[in-house]
Amino acid sequence: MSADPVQQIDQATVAHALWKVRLLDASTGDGSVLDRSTAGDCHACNFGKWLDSGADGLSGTTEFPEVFSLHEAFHGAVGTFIDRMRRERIDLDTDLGGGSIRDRSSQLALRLLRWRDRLAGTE
Amino acid sequence: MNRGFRLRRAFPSLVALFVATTGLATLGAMLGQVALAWAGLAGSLLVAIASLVVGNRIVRTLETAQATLAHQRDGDLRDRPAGDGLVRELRSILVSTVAVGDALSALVSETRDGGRSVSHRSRAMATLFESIRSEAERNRISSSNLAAAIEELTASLRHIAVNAERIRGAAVDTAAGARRLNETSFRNSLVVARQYTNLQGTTTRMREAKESTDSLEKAGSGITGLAGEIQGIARRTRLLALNAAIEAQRSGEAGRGFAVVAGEVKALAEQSSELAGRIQGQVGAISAGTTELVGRMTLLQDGLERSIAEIFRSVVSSEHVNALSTDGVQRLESTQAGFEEIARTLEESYTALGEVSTNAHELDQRARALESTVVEGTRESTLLDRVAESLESSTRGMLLAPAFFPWTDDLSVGVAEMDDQHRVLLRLLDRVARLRDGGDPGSSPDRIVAQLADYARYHFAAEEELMARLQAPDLAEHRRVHATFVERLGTFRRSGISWSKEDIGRLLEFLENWLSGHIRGTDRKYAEVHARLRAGEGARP
Repeated sequence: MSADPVQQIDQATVAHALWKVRLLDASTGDGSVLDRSTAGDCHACNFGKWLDSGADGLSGTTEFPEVFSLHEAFHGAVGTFIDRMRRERIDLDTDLGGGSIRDRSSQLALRLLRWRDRLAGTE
Repeated sequence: MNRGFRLRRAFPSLVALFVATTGLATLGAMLGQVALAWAGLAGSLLVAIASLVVGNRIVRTLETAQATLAHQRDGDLRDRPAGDGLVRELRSILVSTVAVGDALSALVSETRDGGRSVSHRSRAMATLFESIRSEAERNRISSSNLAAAIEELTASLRHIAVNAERIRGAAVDTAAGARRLNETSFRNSLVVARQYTNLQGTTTRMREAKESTDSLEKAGSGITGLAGEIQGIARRTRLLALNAAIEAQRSGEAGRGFAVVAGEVKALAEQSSELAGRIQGQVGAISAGTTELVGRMTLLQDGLERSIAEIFRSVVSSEHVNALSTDGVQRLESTQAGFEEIARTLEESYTALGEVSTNAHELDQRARALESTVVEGTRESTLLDRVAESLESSTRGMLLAPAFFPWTDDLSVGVAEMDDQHRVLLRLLDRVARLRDGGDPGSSPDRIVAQLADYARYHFAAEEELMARLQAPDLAEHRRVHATFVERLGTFRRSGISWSKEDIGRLLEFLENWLSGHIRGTDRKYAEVHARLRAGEGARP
């Protein structure tokens, strides 16, 4: 990722958004491979890998552990939802109206935004 | 003691009882206690009847005395023994009269003091009532103001509650709208992310196509080179055919067939050259087109990369929008919860205020009632004050002059007859004191002192008779003391005294000291004997 911390956060945000698209595509059966162990693993996605790598020197910030926890919770919710999808034959879209994935994702995105604002000095 | 004497002794008590029962009736009437008033009235009536009976007996005694004295004045001395008895009767009446005077004086004094006390207390009560009335008025005003303020507050609270309900409704609508916006923004963020993914794929494919086009351009250049080589071969073939034709000419007829072949080779060479030229032209056109395509693809790729960068920002922004809308929803839901809490609190406050308002109105009514009661109390205490003033004023004229030597319980020797006679002696001292103070101008000092001496002799005789009857010790000494007093008094009268204020003062001092010491000291001796005999003990300890 870029050395610019704001850019790093933006790329992490986009990585998270793209991962959600992959999740949505997987749930609608477009052929994407997204198994339970991978989707529920917060260390398997690009964002998770970035966090695990120390977030390019941002791991020392106060927001890092909070973002880490929120990301972990997001993947936990995804794993739970995948189990439910298999059990109840539902797709992700039906869960968008107030589901746990959307809430966790939004919480994570909000925390990333606050982190970004502080790093950009616009907080 | 005969029956008549006992009745006359009862007269002072009857008078005291009459005053007491009348006072009771008055008090009952003043306090509105009907039973008490009737009881007092009935008692007064009974006591008045008893007093009339006793008074009648006294009057008859006085009438008998008057008749006896008239007979003796007329020279009829047959009633002399009866006259001696009458003197004793009159003396006992005097004792009773003095006792009545004392009782009346005490009662009047107590009544006046009571009236003064009632007046004082009723004034204090009036002041207190006025203070309470003032406080009650302030309370009433305060409670009225409080009730008005609470009503105003209730109206304001109602207005606030209506507005709060409107705001709560607006917050509910806003929160619902924000939730829809949040869902939409989440979907949009997914759409934008998908577009980004798609565009990334398109860019990749565009890059691959450009690379293919580059390869095609390179292949065209190779074909053009091959066509040039073909044209070179055709040129050399045509030259070879020309040489063959020349050689065939030279060979003549034998070479005629060879000349035909050479001509055909030449034609083929020209055809090959033409074809190679046409290939070169076609390949050149393809190459130009490919070059143009590569240029356009380069532009398109640049555009795609710019679009990717922009969509990257769009993805970031849409994620931010989604995050902010989520935050907004949470805040609005919190605000909505806050407004619902406010609405509940306002409702509770409104209910509580209603109760407070009811209590305030009740308080106001009670304050008004209290104020009325206190005003009534003030009027009553003022009335009581007037009654007390009237009572004090009425009794003021009834008061006897203060006693020079007042009777006190420590003067009692325990024998009622002797106590009564001692009281008479003390009252006679009062008359002497009034002489000294100029308060009895119509009286003669000689006569008053003569009366005092006369009554002292009478009392001493009665006392000595009692002591003899009691077999009290030191009777002779007691007689000597009595005689000394009488002698001293006689000396005083015979000394040609001028009865100046100082002379009377000296006499009073002597009388006071002698009587006080005698009653409290010497007379105690027979009093003790009398007490022992009454207790069933012997005359001597």
